[in-house]
Amino acid sequence: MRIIFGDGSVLDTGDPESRERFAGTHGKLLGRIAEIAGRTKSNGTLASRIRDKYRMKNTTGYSLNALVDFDDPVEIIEHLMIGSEGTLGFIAEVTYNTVPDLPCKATALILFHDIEAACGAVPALKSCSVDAAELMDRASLRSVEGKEGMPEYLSGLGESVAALLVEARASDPSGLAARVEEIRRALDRFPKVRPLEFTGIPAEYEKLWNIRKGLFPSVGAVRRTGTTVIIEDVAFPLPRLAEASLDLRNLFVRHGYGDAILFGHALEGNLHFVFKQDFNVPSEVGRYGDFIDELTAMVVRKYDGSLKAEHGTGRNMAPFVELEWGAEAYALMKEIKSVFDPENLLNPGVVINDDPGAHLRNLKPLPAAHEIIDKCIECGFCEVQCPSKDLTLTPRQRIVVYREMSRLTASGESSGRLAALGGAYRYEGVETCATDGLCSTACPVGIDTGKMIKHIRWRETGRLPHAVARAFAGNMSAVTAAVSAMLSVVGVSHALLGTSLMRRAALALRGISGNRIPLWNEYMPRGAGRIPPSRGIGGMPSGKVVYFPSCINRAMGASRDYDEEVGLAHKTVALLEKAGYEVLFPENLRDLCCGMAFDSKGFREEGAMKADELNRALREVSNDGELPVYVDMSPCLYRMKETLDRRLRLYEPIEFMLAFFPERLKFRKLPETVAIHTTCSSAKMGLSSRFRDLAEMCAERVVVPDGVGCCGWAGDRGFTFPELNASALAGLRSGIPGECSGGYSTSRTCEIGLSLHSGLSYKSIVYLVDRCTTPGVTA
Amino acid sequence: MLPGGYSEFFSSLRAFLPPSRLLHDELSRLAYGTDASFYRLIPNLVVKVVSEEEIIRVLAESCRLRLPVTFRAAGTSLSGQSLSDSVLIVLAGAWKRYRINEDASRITLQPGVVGAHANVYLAPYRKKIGPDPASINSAMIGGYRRKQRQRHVLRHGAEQLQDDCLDEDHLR
Ligand SMILES: Cc1cc2nc3c(=O)[nH]c(=O)nc-3n(C[C@H](O)[C@H](O)[C@H](O)COP(=O)(O)OP(=O)(O)OC[C@H]3O[C@@H](n4cnc5c(N)ncnc54)[C@H](O)[C@@H]3O)c2cc1C
Ligand code: SF4
Ligand code: SF4
Repeated sequence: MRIIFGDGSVLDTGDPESRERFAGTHGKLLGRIAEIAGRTKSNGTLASRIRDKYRMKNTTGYSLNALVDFDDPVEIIEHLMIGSEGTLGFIAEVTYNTVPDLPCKATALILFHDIEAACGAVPALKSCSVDAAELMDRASLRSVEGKEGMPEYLSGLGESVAALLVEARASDPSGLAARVEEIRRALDRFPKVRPLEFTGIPAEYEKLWNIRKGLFPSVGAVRRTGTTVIIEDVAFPLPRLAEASLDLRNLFVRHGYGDAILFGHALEGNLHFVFKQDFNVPSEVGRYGDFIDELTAMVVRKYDGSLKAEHGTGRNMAPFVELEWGAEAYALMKEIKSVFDPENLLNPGVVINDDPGAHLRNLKPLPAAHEIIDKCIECGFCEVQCPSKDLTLTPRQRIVVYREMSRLTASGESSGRLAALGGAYRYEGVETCATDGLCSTACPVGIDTGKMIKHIRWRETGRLPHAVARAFAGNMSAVTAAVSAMLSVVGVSHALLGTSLMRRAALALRGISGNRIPLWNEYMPRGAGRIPPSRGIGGMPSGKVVYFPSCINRAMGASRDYDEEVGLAHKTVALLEKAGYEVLFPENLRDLCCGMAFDSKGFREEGAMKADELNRALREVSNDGELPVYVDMSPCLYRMKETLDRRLRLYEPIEFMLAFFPERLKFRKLPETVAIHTTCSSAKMGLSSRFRDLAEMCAERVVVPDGVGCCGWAGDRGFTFPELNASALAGLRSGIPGECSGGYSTSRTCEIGLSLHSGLSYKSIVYLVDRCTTPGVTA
Repeated sequence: MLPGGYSEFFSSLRAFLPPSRLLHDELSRLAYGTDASFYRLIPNLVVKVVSEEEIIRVLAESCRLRLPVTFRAAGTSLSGQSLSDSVLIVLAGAWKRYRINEDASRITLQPGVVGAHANVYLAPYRKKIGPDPASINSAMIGGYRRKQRQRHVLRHGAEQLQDDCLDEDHLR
């Protein structure tokens, strides 16, 4: 472990030189730690108290076990750091021992008549090789019953039923069978509501685990706007788990938290409970305070349990560390803090806090703000997904600021602050959101912050731009023709002027226009030629397909980095024909567009108008869904699936090729390394791994650069706010091995930004599939 | 603008950090005043650090000026421990390096690595790291806090061995 202390000094516990240097500069600190440890070990009652406490899962206070388990002060420090919540120093590097990831898994949802019976079976389970046993009470099960993907029998269960979700793992099937049998035998004597049934089928055990995963969010999703969800995290001695769970239930009812749900990691006696809480009125804060007082007293006095089994002490349990550990052990913790941080500068108020009411201060308001985001619990799960996280704000932060602006607006307090927030929010919150919605894929309550941002844009769009948008929407053919012509001019200039000159010229132009003329870059396409009518070449076509080339691909042709001169629409027609299809196009193709470009900028009505038009044309040409419709841009397809008639059979390139090509084309792996980029829309449709499958049919090695999610190009934001694209793809170049021959994706605009920031030419997967296939059948 | 000693702190950090990583405007302070708990503290200054040299210098300065600091990894903790009303030090999009030893029995991680990513790196070796919080797809190593009881395995006998292998940090 590599630690940076509050004074800026460094200790690398795995490096003898660093240890020696540290001993030289911080001998006194090491001496004091050794002294404290020695004193603790020689205090028999205290030492055995500490050992006893860690028989149970516990994250309350500091890891005092370090003092009794180790003699070397450096080792003691290393172990004190774990769980110290940034109050002793900064961890710059840590080494973990790994554990085997056993590939064979089986899961069973075991239903008992009541929670006592379920808890009663845990000690028997614990004697088996079991990897997880998650306890869920009736309220938990009820909170998810009837939801999509949940087993039907949940709905008909008796009032007191409780469940254990049990998982066994092994390195091979026979090992797994043995473990399952062991568990089955151990649980034989316990009466169950349904016969014990293990499943090893991934889709089925995922369904069972989704019950468990859905619990916390389910409370978040049904709470009244303005209230918060609280999750508590206590542990009890295993033999008394049943008794404790009943005591907890009584406590909930007594304090008006009767709808709390109770679940937990049964093998460790660790129970979580989740409830709704209003912090807007003092009486409610008082109710919470009383509840916590009684809870802590019960957990500690009656059971000698842990107040925080895994979530850490924080501010929430800091006032109760002494209650749990006793005065002597608590004094030890304070002493440890003062050795590392004598002036209390490292995360003060956390773990050690002298204020007995610290857990009731600095409560966060969660005012009603916007129905799309009102259910947000500010958990932060969405942040890793967001392309603007390093540039401006994350989805959670967009929500936090919006909530505060709503609160200020409603209360009328501090108009200056509101103005400051509102002014900055325009760029940080609104302009730099890619509205890709990838945040929703990670959100436990399914919030798409991009939708809220689109809504804000919609509200803000003034009258004049609407007129312009409408004119555009009504003249799609003129727009694509104009864009195409403009790109052709740009393309010619590029050929004449060369890349660096063009870039300088474009930068200058963009500056003059007040950032309104999109920034040019060398990967921008040239204009596309006209779409050829299908000729049905290559023998007798067998089957028809409707092809809807998106307006972007109708306007944009190949760019200079392409090694072929053929634009995507032409290439796609050729590939479909090679696969034996007769290709049909919707009527008035020149005027059609999915409407996303309008909708994402807040021009909702215009967007809806275009969607409507497209719907009519596609229904007609496909015979109301009889023929499949192939769409060449994932984002357009995604929107079409949301907005168009359900009868239409709409296909994204990856889906279509995997579904129909193996029986129509012969794939041959090219001896190349290729990079792929899954667009946000494909990711939202769950196609990430299928894209890899497809690419692996085409090339010997496929790389998916690490940590690259949404590219941030966002339709055309890459033109107008190129810094978003640059920030989102900052890590791309280093993730691509030198031998990569090309990058592939399913969105023309994303590909421009990907090429720009990787230096590798990205184009549609169609080009790769075309190169590696010949007419025939893939075995 | 910046209260008290923060102004001096800011100037001394400006010597080695770009302004884009020293945030103190109204919006940024509010945006970083939240973690997954039900508490809120608004920092005076948010400092985004990307390297060890930087954190060393930042801590040396905050120590000199006696300004409290709090570290933030992914900010998914639930008990209010990644908040500050003084200086919030954020692991900004960096700290993502890792190395795996030869037989993949150990992985060394910087604190900005997301838990699930560590498991992706280990997957080809059929290994993973011990802790498995429900927040694994977002939470970062810097914020992991499961206590390790490996030594207790030896001390408290076989029954706990199994439990520890499954659940606890296997910190070297
Ligand atoms: C829905 C939900 C479910 C959860 N489920 C679980 C669960 O099952 N098990 C569990 O244990 N937790 C759970 N948590 C809590 C939380 O996600 C984890 O504790 C997680 O480990 C916190 O990681 P983080 O990166 O968000 O850390 P942060 O919240 O950023 O920080 C946590 C603490 O670590 C400190 N810190 C951060 N980086 C460093 C560093 N480099 N050096 C020193 N200190 C540092 C911070 O100051 C802070 O005190 C859950 C949270 C949510 C919202
Ligand atoms: S929007 Fe983000 S912070 Fe809010 S609940 Fe969803 S994932 Fe959590
Ligand atoms: S839509 Fe995209 S850019 Fe906007 S908040 Fe969500 S992930 Fe971030």
